[in-house]
Amino acid sequence: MSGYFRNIGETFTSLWDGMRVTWGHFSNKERLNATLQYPHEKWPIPERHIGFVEKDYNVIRSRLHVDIDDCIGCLQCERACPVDCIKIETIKVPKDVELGSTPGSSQTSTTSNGTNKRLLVGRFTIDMAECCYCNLCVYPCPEECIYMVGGPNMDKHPIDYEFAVRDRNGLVYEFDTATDEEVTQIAQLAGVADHRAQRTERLEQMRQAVLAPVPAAEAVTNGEEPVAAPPVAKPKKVITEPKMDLAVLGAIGDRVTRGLAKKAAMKAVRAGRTSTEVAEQVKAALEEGGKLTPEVADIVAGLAKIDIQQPGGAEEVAVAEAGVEEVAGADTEAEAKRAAPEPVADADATPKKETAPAASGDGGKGKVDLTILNGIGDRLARGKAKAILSKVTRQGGTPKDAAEQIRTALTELGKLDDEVEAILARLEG
Amino acid sequence: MTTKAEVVKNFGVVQTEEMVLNMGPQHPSTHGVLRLKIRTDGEIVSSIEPHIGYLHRCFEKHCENLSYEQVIPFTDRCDYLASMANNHIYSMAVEKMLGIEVSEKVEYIRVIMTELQRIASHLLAVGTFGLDVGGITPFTYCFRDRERVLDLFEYTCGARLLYNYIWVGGLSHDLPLNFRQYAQEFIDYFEPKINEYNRILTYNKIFIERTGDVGVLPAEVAISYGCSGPVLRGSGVKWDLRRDEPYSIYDRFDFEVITGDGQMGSLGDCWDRYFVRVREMGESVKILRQALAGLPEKGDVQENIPKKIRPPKGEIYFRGESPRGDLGFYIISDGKAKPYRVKMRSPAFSNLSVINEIGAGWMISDIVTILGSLDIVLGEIDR
Ligand code: SF4
Ligand code: SF4
Repeated sequence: MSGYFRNIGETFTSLWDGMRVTWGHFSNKERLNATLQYPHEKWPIPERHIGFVEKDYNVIRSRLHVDIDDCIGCLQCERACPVDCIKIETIKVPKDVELGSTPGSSQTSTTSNGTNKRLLVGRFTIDMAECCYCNLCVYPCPEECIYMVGGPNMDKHPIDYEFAVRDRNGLVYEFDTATDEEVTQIAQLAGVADHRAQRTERLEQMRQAVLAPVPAAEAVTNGEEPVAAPPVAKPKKVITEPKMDLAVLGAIGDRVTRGLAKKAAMKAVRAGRTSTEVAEQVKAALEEGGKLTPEVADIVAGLAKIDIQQPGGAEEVAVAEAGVEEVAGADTEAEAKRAAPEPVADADATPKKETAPAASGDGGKGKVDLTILNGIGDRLARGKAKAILSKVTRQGGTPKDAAEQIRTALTELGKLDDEVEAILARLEG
Repeated sequence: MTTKAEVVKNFGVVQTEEMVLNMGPQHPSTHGVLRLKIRTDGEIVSSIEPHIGYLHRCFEKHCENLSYEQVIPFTDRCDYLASMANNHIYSMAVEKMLGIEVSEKVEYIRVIMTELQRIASHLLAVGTFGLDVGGITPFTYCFRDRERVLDLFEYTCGARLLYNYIWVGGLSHDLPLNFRQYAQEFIDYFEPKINEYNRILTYNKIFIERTGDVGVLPAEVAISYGCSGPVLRGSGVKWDLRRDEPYSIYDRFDFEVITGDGQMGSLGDCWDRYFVRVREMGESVKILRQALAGLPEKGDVQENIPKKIRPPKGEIYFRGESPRGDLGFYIISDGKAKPYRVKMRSPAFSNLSVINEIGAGWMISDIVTILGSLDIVLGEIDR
């Protein structure tokens, strides 16, 4: 019995004691509070300079900054990195050329330490999303140009610790300043084949390999800033004449075939053909040369998806989808089967049944250009519209009839909005 | 507190069916991603099977592809609550292979950092243990003080959690200006706080009821399972590598090896393991005071860092006392720039293995307590 009361007594006294601690803190909250009302209050950015030598640099590890003008491209930092998130590509500058002497060059010939730069840094990216902030890359640099921010380059890049981005690719920092022209120029002077084109081709090949089973998916990354390979996100070239990115063809393994295909494609592009026509011409040329294997046909079909003019986002995706369908029409039975599921995914089952036979049966003649409808954002509406258009065209109706029918159908569905209306107007026109 | 025998005594014959219960991997009290497969008989646990590997990152295999200095950031990520200790012990192992001696100043700084880390780690252990048994307030206090340790680390090397500070042959940075003063301020501030934790948590009657006499780990069992650190010392075994196999300069400091004494129940219960940690923080403060007093002013912390780390052919096993116990690195070198094999002996792994032994027969809510008292870090167990 006494134990019982002792227990209760001890509970109360110990609770009382604990509560006194808590209340002590409560009344002292100004002095002892542990939290910071972020983002209204912020932790002070450290101003201390510490390092091997006092005032050497500040070691807050928030992000890396490279003084690219001082970088000699020695790759020491790349080698030191345990997670391989630094990617550097360099081109050897020929002996008789001084870096930065070429017209329009942004490069300097020496570093601020006075070292001669013998390499052009064509690419210097750090993926901060991958970086483990170990600081190991900082130490071996002979020119002391790679630092966590706030080093000797404090005035060029002040310390900050808030660098959230909405997209993971935003964390790939590009430090290289060499322009495309410059890289090409130096590469030519150095006798290397066009470095950047090679790289783009290689990347494209890799992308093809990854995306090969789903032809439509890659279209999303085509043309505009590549998502899959952020490091090549360079200033886009201005297109002055009809031009086409033929890198897709790089995936063709056989050299002769590749050459043939490229030649035919270039010719067609210059003649002002549409991408679908280009693909067809290339195919014809290859057939003539006896080089058309199913794999090659596949790759060539990819051409149809690449827009020749500078494309707008939505339409471009559209072109790609249409490309798949048309290829299905022109190709073998097996091809058709492979491409057929595409419209299914797009809409309900009906349009599929109607489009697929039409496509494979007609083999190109009296074919419907469904491309134009791809701008319709809503999948159901798009599917319906396509179904109607192909049906009407096969029955010999004009686009105007089709547009009328589509309008009725979509109004029923409640999917007729301004956007669709605009597209239909274009269809009529 | 209730054993099956007592339940039977109080309620007569109880007929129940066994049930398998999964605790984790997403469970706040598993301190990471651990899955406990618990067989329960009513509320009583009949056996516990820990399933690990959710945080496996191939540390050991990955080391074979890294140079010796590149391994250090990865040791950080094993026991991420005691990165300094991992850095220290790994670096010492490689130094032993290379036959490097480091300067006095480096040794002092390493000890200071490791002891600060021990305080930070124990603070987290103590705070979350309170959380496990239902006390929220102590946790916030512990974290408040842990932040101050982390501030010191940030001040020293720029990172708050994963430092890559202690290198083979030296340190990545010298101590910053006024570090000695700031560290002194911290320990002066911190020492009375230990008493505060005691008042709010340690001697709280409810806490004692939840932890005293629960999950008793007898010394022989602890030894046979390879337990170490506060888990072993909580059972009354006076074993601390800092004292028994002094490495670095630990032989110069005067400190006590804390052991449990069964004050609130029997020897080796959860309360003992907990209290060992609380008192060890006091001992760390003692070591810190001495180390700060003895810290040489001058000295280059990088003078002994080898340009190329290429240990001669051979192998080494080196161990030291991390906040969780005996942390060992077994490294085989084939004379190349990358280790042939790195094996880490993680204390938390062995400590966790004892859970079935001491957890069976207790109630489910006590399992949380017992697990908390083992202070595991899954990063280290799974590696
Ligand atoms: S800080 Fe470490 S992980 Fe980050 S880029 Fe430098 S070496 Fe690589
Ligand atoms: S170590 Fe320095 S100079 Fe060399 S590549 Fe890296 S940033 Fe450039």
